[in-house]
Amino acid sequence: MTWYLSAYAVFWAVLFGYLMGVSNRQQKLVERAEHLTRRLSESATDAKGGSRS
Amino acid sequence: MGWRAAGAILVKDLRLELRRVETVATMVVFAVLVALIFVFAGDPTPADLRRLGPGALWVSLLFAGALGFGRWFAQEERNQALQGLLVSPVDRAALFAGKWAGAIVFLLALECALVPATVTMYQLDLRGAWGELALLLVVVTVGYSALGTFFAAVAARTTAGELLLPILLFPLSVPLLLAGAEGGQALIEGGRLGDYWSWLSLAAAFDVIFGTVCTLAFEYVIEE
Amino acid sequence: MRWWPRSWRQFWSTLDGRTYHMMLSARPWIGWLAVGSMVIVFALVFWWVPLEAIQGYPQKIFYIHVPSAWVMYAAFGVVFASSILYLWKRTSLWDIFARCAAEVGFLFTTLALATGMLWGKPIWGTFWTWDARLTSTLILWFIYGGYMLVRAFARPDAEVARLAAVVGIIGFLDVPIIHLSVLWWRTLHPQPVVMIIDDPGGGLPASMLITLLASLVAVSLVFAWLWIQRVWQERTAENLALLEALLERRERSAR
Repeated sequence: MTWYLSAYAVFWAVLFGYLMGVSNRQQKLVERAEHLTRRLSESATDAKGGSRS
Repeated sequence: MGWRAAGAILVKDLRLELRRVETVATMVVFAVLVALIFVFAGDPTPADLRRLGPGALWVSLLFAGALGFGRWFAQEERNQALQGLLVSPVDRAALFAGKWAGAIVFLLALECALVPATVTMYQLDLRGAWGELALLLVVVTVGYSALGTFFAAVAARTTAGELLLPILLFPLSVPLLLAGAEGGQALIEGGRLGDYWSWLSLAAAFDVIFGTVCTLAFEYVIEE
Repeated sequence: MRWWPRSWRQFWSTLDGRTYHMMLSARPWIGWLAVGSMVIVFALVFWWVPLEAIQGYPQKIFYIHVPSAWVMYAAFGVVFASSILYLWKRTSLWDIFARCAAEVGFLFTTLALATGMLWGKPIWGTFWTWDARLTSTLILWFIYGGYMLVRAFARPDAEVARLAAVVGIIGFLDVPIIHLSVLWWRTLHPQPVVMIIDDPGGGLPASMLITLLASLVAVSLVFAWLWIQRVWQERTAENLALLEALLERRERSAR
């Protein structure tokens, strides 16, 4: 009985671990997109501010 | 253009290698040492020896080959010789065929020394089936050289080349290893020629398939 | 995006885009479908399907072991097909399909090995025997691993995608031959105990067959979901990198 339960437990644990990895990567992507958006808006306001004509 | 180029590459490789016979000799020594190490590691009884013998022969060959393939390609990369070859109008498939043939010749030379050494060390009695063993050796060598040459080129393009070559090569060579070891075993046990021929055909089919695939795929590896 | 292409040439050239488009459409709901079906399968395994006479409880591992192995092969098939298409069409999407399938496939290979070993311990008494299927699975694990190592260690100037594609293609072609040779090897030197229940010719009772099929579907959905997620992530990362580079260039020229 134990082996059968531990096999299922291991199956879920490994899948769950991988899912954690996937959502970590997701988080980093979101942060990167945020950062990029911020830089883009800064750069846009700079251009409007008129450092060059 | 194709065949003559392949021949030229083969001759060039052979000439380069023969100028420094030490390389082949060193590989022979290495291979025999591996076979030796197995004996020390296992402390086999005479019966064990005869069972392990064919396996030890092939393992030594596989290891020596893995070392050799890496070096033969490293040689080219080192003095930009490969770049020179690529600039010339040589068909990629012919280039592969030349290197493949070179690898076969070197491994066969290695086997000429390795087989007698292993047969002696492991007290193997081939019951006169030397021709069959030779045939098996040739067929397995042809296939192993194809994979080895191919993955040496792939591994040379990575930063962990020397480590990566065996990692890529060994799992894919399992059918050849099994064919060699089991075929050899069948010869030694005698009266199992049917098994021997089955394994030989497997190895031959392997050669045909992977010889073709590797030759065709080689241009994708060395595309620059 | 037009669904029916105008010609064969257009079919193959737009296949990556259309596939990606379909994957994106599936992304919102496929995860829920996967989870839901896994829950159903669990319920079937724990409460419905009968206990097998000879092996007892450990036999139930069969219902996650076999689907994991099936997905392992399917994933490798995806790697194979995507690698060929990459070498032909050279678009980044085909490379993304291949490397994500390899990653998730490696995961399921590990699961197949782990569940196989945990099944073996109560049945055979040891975690490992050189049984034909387990051995072949182990070799496949190494082939997948090698594929990923090539990607990890490729030099920046060498085209990673190209090298990996070639390795993926050759690896996949070897798999049936490896299987055959390992099977012959094991037939010559038979192991004392053989897993009785997963011989398809043996005839599975209906309840077990249903559970197995349900599990196959559920685990395949999990694979599809994970693969789609990873592909989407990789594509997005690629797009972000492109945008960052553009921004970099714009900022530099503005200075």
